[in-house]
Amino acid sequence: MWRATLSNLTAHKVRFLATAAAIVLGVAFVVGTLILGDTLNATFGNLFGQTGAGIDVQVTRVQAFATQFGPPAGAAEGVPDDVVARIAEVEGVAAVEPTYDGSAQLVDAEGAIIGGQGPPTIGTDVPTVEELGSTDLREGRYPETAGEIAIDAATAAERGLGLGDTVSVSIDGPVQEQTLVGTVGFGDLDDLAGATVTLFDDDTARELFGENGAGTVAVLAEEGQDRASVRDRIAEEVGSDFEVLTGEEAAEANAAEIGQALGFLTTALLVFAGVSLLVGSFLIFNIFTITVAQRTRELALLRAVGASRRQVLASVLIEALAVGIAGAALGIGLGIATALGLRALLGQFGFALPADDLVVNSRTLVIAMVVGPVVTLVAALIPALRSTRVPPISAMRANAAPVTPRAGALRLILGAVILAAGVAALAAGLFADAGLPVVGTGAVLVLLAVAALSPLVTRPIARVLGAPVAAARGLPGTLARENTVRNTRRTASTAAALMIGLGLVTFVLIFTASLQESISNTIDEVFLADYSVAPANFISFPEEATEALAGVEGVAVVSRTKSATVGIEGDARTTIAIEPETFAQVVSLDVPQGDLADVAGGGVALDEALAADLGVGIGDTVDIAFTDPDAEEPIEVVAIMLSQQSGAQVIVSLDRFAEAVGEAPDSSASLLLDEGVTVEQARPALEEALAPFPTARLSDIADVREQITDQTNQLLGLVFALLFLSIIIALFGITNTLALSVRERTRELGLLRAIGMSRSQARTMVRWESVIVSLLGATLGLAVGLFFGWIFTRALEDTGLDTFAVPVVQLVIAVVLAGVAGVLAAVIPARSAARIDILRALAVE
Amino acid sequence: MSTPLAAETTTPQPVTLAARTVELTKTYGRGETEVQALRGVSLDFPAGQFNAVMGPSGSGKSTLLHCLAALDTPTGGTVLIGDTDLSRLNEKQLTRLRRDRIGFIFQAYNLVPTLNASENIALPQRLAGRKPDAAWLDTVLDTVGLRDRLNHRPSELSGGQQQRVAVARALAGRPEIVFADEPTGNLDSRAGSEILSFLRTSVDEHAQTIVMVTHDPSAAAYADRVVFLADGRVVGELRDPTAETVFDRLKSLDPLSRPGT
Repeated sequence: MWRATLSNLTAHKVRFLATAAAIVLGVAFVVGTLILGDTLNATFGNLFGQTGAGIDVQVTRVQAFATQFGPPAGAAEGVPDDVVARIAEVEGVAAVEPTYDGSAQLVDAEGAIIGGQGPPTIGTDVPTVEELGSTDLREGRYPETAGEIAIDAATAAERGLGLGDTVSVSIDGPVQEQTLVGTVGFGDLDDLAGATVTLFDDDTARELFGENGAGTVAVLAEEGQDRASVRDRIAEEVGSDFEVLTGEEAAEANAAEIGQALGFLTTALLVFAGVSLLVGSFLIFNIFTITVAQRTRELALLRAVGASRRQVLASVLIEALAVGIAGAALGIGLGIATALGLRALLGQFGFALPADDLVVNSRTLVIAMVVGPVVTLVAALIPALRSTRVPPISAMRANAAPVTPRAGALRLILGAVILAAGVAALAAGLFADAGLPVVGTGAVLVLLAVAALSPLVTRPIARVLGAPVAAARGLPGTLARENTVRNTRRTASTAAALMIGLGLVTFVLIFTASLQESISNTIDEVFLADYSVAPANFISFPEEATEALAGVEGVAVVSRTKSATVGIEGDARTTIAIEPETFAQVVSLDVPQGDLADVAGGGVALDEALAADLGVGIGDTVDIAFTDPDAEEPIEVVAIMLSQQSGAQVIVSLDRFAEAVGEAPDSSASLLLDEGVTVEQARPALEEALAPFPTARLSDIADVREQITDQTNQLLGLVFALLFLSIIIALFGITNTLALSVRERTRELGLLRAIGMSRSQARTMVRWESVIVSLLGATLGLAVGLFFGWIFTRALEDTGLDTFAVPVVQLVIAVVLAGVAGVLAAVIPARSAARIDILRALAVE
Repeated sequence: MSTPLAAETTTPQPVTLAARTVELTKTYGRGETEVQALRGVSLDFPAGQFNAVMGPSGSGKSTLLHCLAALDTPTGGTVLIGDTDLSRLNEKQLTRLRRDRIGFIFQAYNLVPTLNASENIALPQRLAGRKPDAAWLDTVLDTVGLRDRLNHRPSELSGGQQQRVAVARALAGRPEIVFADEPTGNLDSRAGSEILSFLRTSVDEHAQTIVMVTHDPSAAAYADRVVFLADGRVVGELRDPTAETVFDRLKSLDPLSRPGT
């Protein structure tokens, strides 16, 4: 049986390659994602290893409710000077190095910010203890006085900055000009994972960032001291407010934190890899179904000469296994290129990732070698089982053309059951919070159900789609249409592969359109200001920027906010501080109970859902921790508002905020202009006022809308790029099905050519068959995508996604592109149809 | 004496030829595996005549038909359909010639399975983007008698009915010449004689020209003329044949051949 299988494989190289290609691309995507994830993990691990190489013990302040969304209110609590002094006295400590760090934004000569669109913009001090320093001098010297800085060598090289150049930096005031006196690296790295690093002399850094103490204190142990013992002694000395870790522990903790963030990225990419594999499995299913049908006579002959059903089954499955293994092996090779491609792609869409040598773990190879063959085997299982049902007598029949059973009641029932299960899982996942895996399972089940049911609707849909083709293209068009309904199961499963990609495209288009429209509606309702200022680095901008605006002629009202994270019952809550007198003039929030202006009295406004969670209402008090988790302050609730419009769950007055937190930069400012001053008239003066503050970005309502559109469109672009591969695989499937069909119809093509069909008519016939199949897939995809879009927007209605928008133009474009893709998919099979040798074709049985 | 020219012009016009071959040769393969299928065949096929081509297996009769029907390219010599020299035509022109000027009847699988009988009949005209001549189509349909089966697909027709559709298709475009390659080879004798009667009728009543390859003497008996081939050469000709005369001639050609096999 082995020999029969292998000779069959070598005899059908093209088919073998097509099947393998389906699995190669899917596996390559999986492998590429895993390699990228491992590489990034290794990069950051290496980074922390390099920067923390000489540190024996590290001390930081325990952050009570720090979240990934930002620091707690005000500057982070650090390690105070007296604690640093006490650490230095602990037995076994040779030296301590307190680091004062924060955010420092470099600004280029045109006044535009450098970096700051993702990776952090770090400002820090010069190392004083050589062993503990995380930086190594590359050129020049470290800064010694105010007005001097050193920056990381990578940024210097990228921006062409040299020693002695003047560089602008924005910290929490207007841009200041500094002189570049040195460049630094980090161990053997020049680049800190894309971050910009600015070094100030110790006094300046302390002044800028050291208000609450040192961010971290690095400790050098005396020769011969055990790190763990030194750690334990320091921990005992400083108490539980501080976290004390050995250098290795700190590096691991840092790497784990980054790993978690990267894990999200890897998971998202794996979802798309999974889509590619799903589409690939449709393709494999198709190829095996067609070839089993075409090999009916051969299989019957094997059965007639004594092969058992089990042996026939094995012969098909062994072929699948061989294809799967070969595909997986090739996929690993291509996966390395895919990893580079993904990295470049993510970079293109604003997720700059460090470029480092790729890391290929043995786990990646094992996963690839399991995923490839398993997917192939599963996809080939149904055709393989079908092959065992070929009766030996088929070998004797003159016409061994396979009988295609009509899509029957069983299919209808099975499809309906899967569909019901899928919709139920989707609903459970979306409305009952059963989790994302349940949502994913539901979505896959719905796709499978539609694929299973699609043969039932293929005939009517193809007839409708084919009608204009038949009308416009005459007989070749009619034949194209008829050929698509010749074997509805084959047509349907070929189209189903494209349906998946188009369904997801439709879903994403609808989802983003709904999101954009919902946000746009909210902006219209909420945004009363003529202009608003937002931080260009998504963090904050200096108070002076807001003040500069207040002085501009024609500005009637300026209302600033500051934002922070506070702790309520141990959970981090997004908070904004407002000017109660003016806020309502620039922002219109829904306030179901109380009055937002009442926060002026020192009270707090809570989001409706949060208040319900906490079980508080107007007049009750909530305990809020602004900076120190142990220092909770009871504050009276004076208003209940809807957070979805402001994004903040907690609102207090600026005065209350200042009392609790102290000084902090602004997070937004909104302006109203004097009566009679138009938005366009005011713009030049406002821009001029903000010129020294590159981190403050001025927008009118049109700009805000455009920014949101740009952001969602960028996301859209990335999603499309990631779905591209699965669409390519689906087109490959169309090509392959057509090629096999053309071969199957050789005799018929010979006849048509003999009685006068021209080569170009033969091409037309195959091309339009392909287009109809593509459009069928697009139609099914539209239906599925509309459903997904509808159910997702319904599920997210409560979070502010209250509009269900169908972007008709974009969807029409998607369908047209699917048709064009069909033309491309048909190029090769159409050519082979046009080039058949008539006499030889007529001689084919 | 003074009017030799006039005398010449008044001589009866030679019979118009629907097709003609001159010193036609066809060689397959090269060197040791070279097979000479046709070794200089010169034949005239007058318009309005029913010709049968016979000969033992390997005599070159199928190759001759393929070369005549613009399906195969000769190695040497000339093929003319009407006045058209096929060697001067490119692929596109050959396709158009097959579509517009030639009718085909093959042994089997003559029909496109996705089209019904009437669509199959109109196939060449529709490939040309033309409407079939309705009056002529009526005549053809009357001849082959398929009116009640026009909306049936080939899979719903018997072998004889399918072949009648093929005959109707070959005649529907009023081609200059119809080529038939063993048109009755797959049929029982009753269905076969029906088909042959239709072909005969089309020659008698509509002056259709037909060239039919067959190995069946009783099929050849329907023809006006039988041309005998052997080893790629024309070895004889019989006018107004009967099954017996054909059979006898075949026997004399090759004592070892068993006509009808």
